[in-house]
Amino acid sequence: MALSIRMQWLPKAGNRDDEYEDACWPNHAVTTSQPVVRCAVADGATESSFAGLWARQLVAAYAATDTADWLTTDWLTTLPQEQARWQAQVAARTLPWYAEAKARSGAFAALLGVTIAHDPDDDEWTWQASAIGDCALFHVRSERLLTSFPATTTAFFTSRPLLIPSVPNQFAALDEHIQQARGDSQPGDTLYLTTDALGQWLLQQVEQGATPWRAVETALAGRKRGFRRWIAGLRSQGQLRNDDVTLLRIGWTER
Amino acid sequence: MPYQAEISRTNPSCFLFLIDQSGSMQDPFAGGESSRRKADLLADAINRLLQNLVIKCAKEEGIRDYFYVGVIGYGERVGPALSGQLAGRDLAPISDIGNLPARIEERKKKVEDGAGGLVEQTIRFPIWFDPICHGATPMAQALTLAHDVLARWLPHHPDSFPPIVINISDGEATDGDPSIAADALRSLATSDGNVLLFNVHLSAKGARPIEFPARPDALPDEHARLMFDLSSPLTPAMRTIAQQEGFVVEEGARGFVFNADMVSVIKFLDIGTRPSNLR
Repeated sequence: MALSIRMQWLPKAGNRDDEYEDACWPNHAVTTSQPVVRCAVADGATESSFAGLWARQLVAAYAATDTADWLTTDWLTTLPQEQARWQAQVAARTLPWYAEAKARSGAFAALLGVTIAHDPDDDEWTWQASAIGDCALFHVRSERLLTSFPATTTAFFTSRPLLIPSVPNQFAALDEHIQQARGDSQPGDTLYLTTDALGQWLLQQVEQGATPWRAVETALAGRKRGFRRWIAGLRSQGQLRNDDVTLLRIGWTER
Repeated sequence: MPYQAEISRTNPSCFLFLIDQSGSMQDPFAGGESSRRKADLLADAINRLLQNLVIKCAKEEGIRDYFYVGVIGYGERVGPALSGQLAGRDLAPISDIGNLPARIEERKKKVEDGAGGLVEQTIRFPIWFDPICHGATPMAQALTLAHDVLARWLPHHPDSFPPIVINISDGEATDGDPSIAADALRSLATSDGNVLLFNVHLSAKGARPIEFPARPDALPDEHARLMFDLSSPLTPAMRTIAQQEGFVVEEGARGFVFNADMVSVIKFLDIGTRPSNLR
């Protein structure tokens, strides 16, 4: 068996593609038989600048962490280097006074990382998730939600979560805010990683007794155009907040 | 539900500040908190506010025009009060505000170095608005001008989050009852609600500020009650922000502070201009 990873994303309605400030890893469709696979989504905060850059850095940093010790939150140890790299990239540009002032307060992003491991001896699959902020993971089997993480109710999305800053901030004790979960999975399951607007909608559907997963699959099967039409419909009906949307799907496939 | 419109580049909102520039603004604040003139402290607050608004709208590619902004002064004359290249303009998109300050001063600021220490940074501090204090207090004329400026802006932005007008003064109008002009101003509307008029009365007596009152009962005099009547209620989102900032705000609380000191002016401006629905 192999893992098949697909993703779709869209900027806010009215914004250009280059104004999209979420990120995901991998950022292109992949089918892989690697024993350990790391995926992530991140959501750069609109209120900050260079937030898309920060979100892209975070998902790449999560994916690049030494996978030998994947049960720990060791990806946080790379944070100071990532902050320094973000600051260097921003400082390399000549900025007008306002962009300089905005960048001084840093960019902020939510991050969800999921590592899937396969034990070939007993052919077992497990996943381990770490999150800071309000990106969401959904573990679905036979169109039934087994786990949602870290949000378990839609109320989670109305709070203002702590986000990961791109500048050193002594007040943000990030390690206290890391949420973690793990689970067993099996071929036929699906894991969805989303940023907050879509995560909120999915959980709302489940709370209302609906089964949104078939609609998600249909939208993904329609590639970019199908996904765009689906999201535009939800937005115009007022069901989905006008926010950047990212959906990463992990499924099992015969290789 | 009014006051819910998304603020975006295609659907921007508007802030208009009316600043008392009468002769009494050259006095210091009562209570001895500073020997600086009210006009100087207020100019600092307005420049800082414009700076913060620009920074809120700044992204890596430039400034997003979420807002139009204007400053009208009233004293010896009534009219647009920004300096430099923006002089004479009653409203400007926030990108023009950001790109065209009258001048940029340099100030020193201590910031954390990330290793538990502090380093001194040179910060560029843009100036748009210079203090003036001369003449009487033609508040009614200023409110009428605000009405005319917004009446021209609104047809181009019929679905916007309604414009917010913040009037800051240390005294009573000297050109008659401002109620008629204020009523006309507040009757302007978009599909998302009426124009909001908020009033800040600067302290002359060093008395305790009365912030966001919901009823006129506790106000000390006729003038305070008049300014209360001129003021719009806070929106529910603003009431929530005010509560988070530690104010006791009842249902129906007005966007009004009486006997404001500088701290309460700055807090008021922050609550009245904090955008919550930027896209």
